[in-house]
Amino acid sequence: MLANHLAIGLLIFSFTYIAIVSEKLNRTVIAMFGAVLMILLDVLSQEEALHHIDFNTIGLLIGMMIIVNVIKRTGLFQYMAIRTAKLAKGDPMKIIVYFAIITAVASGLLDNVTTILLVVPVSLVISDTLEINPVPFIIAEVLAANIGGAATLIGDPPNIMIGGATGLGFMDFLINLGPLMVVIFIVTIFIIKFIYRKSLHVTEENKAKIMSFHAHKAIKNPVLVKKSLIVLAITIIGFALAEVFHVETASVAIFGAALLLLISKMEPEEIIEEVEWTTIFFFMGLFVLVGALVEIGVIEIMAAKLLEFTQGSLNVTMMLVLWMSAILSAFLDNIPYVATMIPLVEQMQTTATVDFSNVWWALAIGSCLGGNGTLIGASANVVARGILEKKGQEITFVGFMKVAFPLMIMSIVISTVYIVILYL
Amino acid sequence: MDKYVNSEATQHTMILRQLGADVTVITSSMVFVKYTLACGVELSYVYNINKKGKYFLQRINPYPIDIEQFNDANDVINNIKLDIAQFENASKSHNLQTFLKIQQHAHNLIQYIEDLYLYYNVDEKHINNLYNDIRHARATINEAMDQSKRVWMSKDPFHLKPSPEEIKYRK
Repeated sequence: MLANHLAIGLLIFSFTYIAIVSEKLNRTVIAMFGAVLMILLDVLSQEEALHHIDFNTIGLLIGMMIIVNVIKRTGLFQYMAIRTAKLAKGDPMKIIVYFAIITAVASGLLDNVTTILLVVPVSLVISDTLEINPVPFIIAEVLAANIGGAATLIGDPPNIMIGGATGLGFMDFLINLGPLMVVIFIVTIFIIKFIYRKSLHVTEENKAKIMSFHAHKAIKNPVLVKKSLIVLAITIIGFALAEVFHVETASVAIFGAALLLLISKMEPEEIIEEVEWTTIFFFMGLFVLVGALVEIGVIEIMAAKLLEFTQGSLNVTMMLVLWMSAILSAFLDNIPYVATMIPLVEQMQTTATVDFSNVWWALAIGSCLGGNGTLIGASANVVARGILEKKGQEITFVGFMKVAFPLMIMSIVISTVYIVILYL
Repeated sequence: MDKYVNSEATQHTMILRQLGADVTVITSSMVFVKYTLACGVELSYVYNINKKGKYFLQRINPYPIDIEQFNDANDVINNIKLDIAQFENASKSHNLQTFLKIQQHAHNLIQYIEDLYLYYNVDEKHINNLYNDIRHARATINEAMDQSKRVWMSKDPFHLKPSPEEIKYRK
């Protein structure tokens, strides 16, 4: 490998990464530009670039996005929000808890950005009706989305990427991370309740407005709701059984998407048009960028340095990966971080003398939960802030961090205990 | 649709459905058209194209007209072309600005009448007076039409029906 390829590759990667993290330019455009520069400047060939794109991750993302695009047209989330708000009898604290539960569960089955896009708008309508500050709702839902998403293979992009790289399946994630996330969720919600216990007051008149809502009015197409839920269930079962039948998760997701498009009779162009293609191209660009680092040997060097630092100790490596992932993911977008860490951990796994496979759990936990630390830590956080800003409301960076960062640290402490008990 | 636009639509549809409204969200393209006449008057239009091939056209300036639905893009374009041509022709008249003022007042009148019945309990005497004044205005328009020279021949007006004399004259 020529020295100038190494220098060029590092330079392009560094500038691209800084540009992505700075958020001054569109991250998809930057990722694509950096990726194609790698090819044009011969850091890696086009064939090598395509080889590094994890099409299983891409297919899984596209498939689930199509399914969600159909589900969101049914009004199902609005229905659930109204039923939940009425179950809580308009009590804002109960609504926050119930909505957080819905968000966490949904986020485990759908990706957490989509969950936020479904839940936050209806939360804003509910909080507007109750005439209370929506910020506690949004913060609780963002935290719940990231926690719930961390519990499954498909809930959070870092897990999707780790699953794609390692072959870890839906049940592997659920069994290893599910119980931990349930505990973290419960503790988080208790603390949120404590923080906002005195600040949410609703008049009886506004509670009555909530009670006058009719959930059934939210459902425009009851038949489509049933079809969507059946296909979603088939898809989730498909993920759970994918390993048994030696089917890739992308195939399961695309099968679910195609089946739902077939039976829903919806206009396919309209549904497919709304796939988040910018996210898909962002992922593809990232895979090529990181693939270039692999090709020029940077990842191999970094892995060796890391093994040297940890002296090949699994304990130290897991703790380092967990805490480093959490802190870095809080301040950097966790997707490019995980994209870079995956080949690094793969390399460490091949050269280490002990079984490093559990390091993946540390990476998944740290990168997913770390996203809860700041407003920029995860895409779901950024999207929630954007929706709130359109309403003329604001969550400030510091305002969010004051609540969320300590909660994130608490979740990583719990995770540390969990890892020590289960894996070390 | 942009995710933030989608989020706004979700909130609005939820509120409107709770009011009891039947709400349909349509993905479409909205086209704004602006054209400035030689005399400086600006014409502007908005039309909406959806995937079912329906086109909804409305003129916004110099005064709004009712939304019309078309099934063909060419009809939309032809309507805009005709509108521009007619206004260009009409702009040769030294009365254009006066007509535009009359139109603006007429448009305002419609809004005043709406405010009247939405905000007040008006007795029959005033309703009848209003109705008679409007009928009188209609008669004034007809009289003006009968006593004026026709200057646009390529098609008949949408709303004003030519008088029997004019029809007889054209025959």
